[in-house]
Parts: sequence; C-alpha cells; structure tokens
Amino acid sequence: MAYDGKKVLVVDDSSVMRQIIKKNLKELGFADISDAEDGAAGLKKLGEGSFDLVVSDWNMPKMTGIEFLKAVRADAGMKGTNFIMVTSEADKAKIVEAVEAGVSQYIVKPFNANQLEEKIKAIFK
Amino acid sequence: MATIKIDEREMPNVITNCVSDSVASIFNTIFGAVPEYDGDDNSKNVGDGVVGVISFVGDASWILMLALPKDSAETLAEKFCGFAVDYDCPDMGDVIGELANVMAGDIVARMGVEGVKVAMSLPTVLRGQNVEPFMPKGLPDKKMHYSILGKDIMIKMAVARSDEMMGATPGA
Repeated sequence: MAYDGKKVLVVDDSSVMRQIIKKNLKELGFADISDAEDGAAGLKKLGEGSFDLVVSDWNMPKMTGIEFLKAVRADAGMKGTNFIMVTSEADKAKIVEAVEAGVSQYIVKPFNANQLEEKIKAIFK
Repeated sequence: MATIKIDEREMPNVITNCVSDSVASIFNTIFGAVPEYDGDDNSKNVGDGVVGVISFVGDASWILMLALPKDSAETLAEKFCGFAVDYDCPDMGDVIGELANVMAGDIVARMGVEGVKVAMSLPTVLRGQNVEPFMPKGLPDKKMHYSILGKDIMIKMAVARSDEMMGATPGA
C-alpha cells in the first residue's frame, strides 16, 4: 500500500519516541511527516494544514493525548482526521475512554513496526 | 476500592508481584529476552547510572524506580531505539523515561486486574552516582536486581505513604 501522498503528524513529548515512530512511518512509505511535542503544539499544527493521520502519545504535559483527541473531534475542520493513540496506558478503562472520544486505532506500548502497520492498514483500507 | 495493608517490613505482595511480572513481560517484548533475576540485595547500588522514577497514587501510593548503570543504559537504549544514544545526551533521559513509563502503564493494568486502582505520573529522570530518592521512614521498600543481554538493571519500589498518612497535614 502506498502512503507517500499521505501527511502524518506525530505527537509525543519524548524526542526519542518521535524519532522511533517517524523511522517506522518512513519504512512504511510515508514521506510527509511532521511532529509536535505535546497536544497543544499538535493542535496548532493541525490548524495550520490538513493531515491524513495523527499518531499521538497519551501522557504528555500541557495537553494530554486524550485532551488533544477531544479537541480534534470537537473542531469542525479537524474532526475527520484519522487518529492513532500510541500509549503505555494498557488499562481497559483508558482504552474505553479513548474509543468513546473517537480514537481511530489504539496501540499499547511496547509495540513494533508490524503492529503500527496493521493499525494504519485498518485505517486506509 | 481495594484496601492495601501496609506492613512496614515488607512491600505489599500485590505490588511486588505486578512489578516482577511486568519486568519479565515488558523487557522480553522490547529486548527479546527474559531478564534473569539476580536477587533483592537492598545494599547493592548501580553506581554511575540513569534512573527513571514514576509515582503511583490511588488505592496504594508508592514509587517505582528503574535504574540502569551507564553501560546498561547505553546498550539497552541502542536496542530500544534502533540507533545509538549517547549517555550524556538528553535523549538518554527520554529513553529511560519511556522504559519506566511503559513498565508503569503495564503495572497499572496488572494492578487493576487485581482490584487495586492506581494512576501513574509522568516519569522523572535523574542521572548520577547511586541516585535514590529519600522516602518517609518506617515504610517498606524493596530492590530487585536483574540482568538482561548481560547488562544489569535495578528496580526499586517504595511505599510513599501509609493509610494513616492519607489526608494528614504536611508536617503534622
């Protein structure tokens, strides 16, 4: 599946995790990848241009991933954006909360490139 | 809500068991090897190393420390990221914080299954010689030592406050 025309935003407060996720996305064929260090910065980037996919962490300072997701779904211009939550929050209640907030896919850390690819394939099938 | 009995001599079993199960599961998933348990010597330290600290609050208030000596940190960080991470680089803090964070998320889920509800903090990462937090006196703590891929790892758990201290005025 070709993803080279798709625009992705990676949001994580960890610079290393942003690098790892971007590396995985590049290996999957994504070429246009931006990043942001928390939900507030991510929201600003989404407001500046449309993205096909957001890959976001949950636990972040300033604006958490779930707050970011809710803000995206509440905005008329952004609400259709595909949103993958990548998080260490394996607690069932958290997953339910994300699903209710409108997450497209959910990945529990630790994850590998194959798991990320499966979630992306499910979105762009 | 589950009641956690705090015995000042020992960490509650539910915490110790969830942490050791999480160490085995998370490190195996990330590094492709099950860590070997090297005992619980409370006097053994890591020397020069990096420490990721996460606090838990809820039915039990306690902290988790993941401590890696310098050479363990360098080796495991490269394996985790797929690229080398310099020990003195801020990215090293990100890696250890992320490892502690992933473990903590797994521990929260495991404790939830046991009926103990806790929420976790963001990780704090420290670097130095034998870095350990000062904890309140009279509350239990425990170290667990492991090795993986020939490198040492230390886990420390410490109860942060007892039921009697819940809601008490600081300094009282």
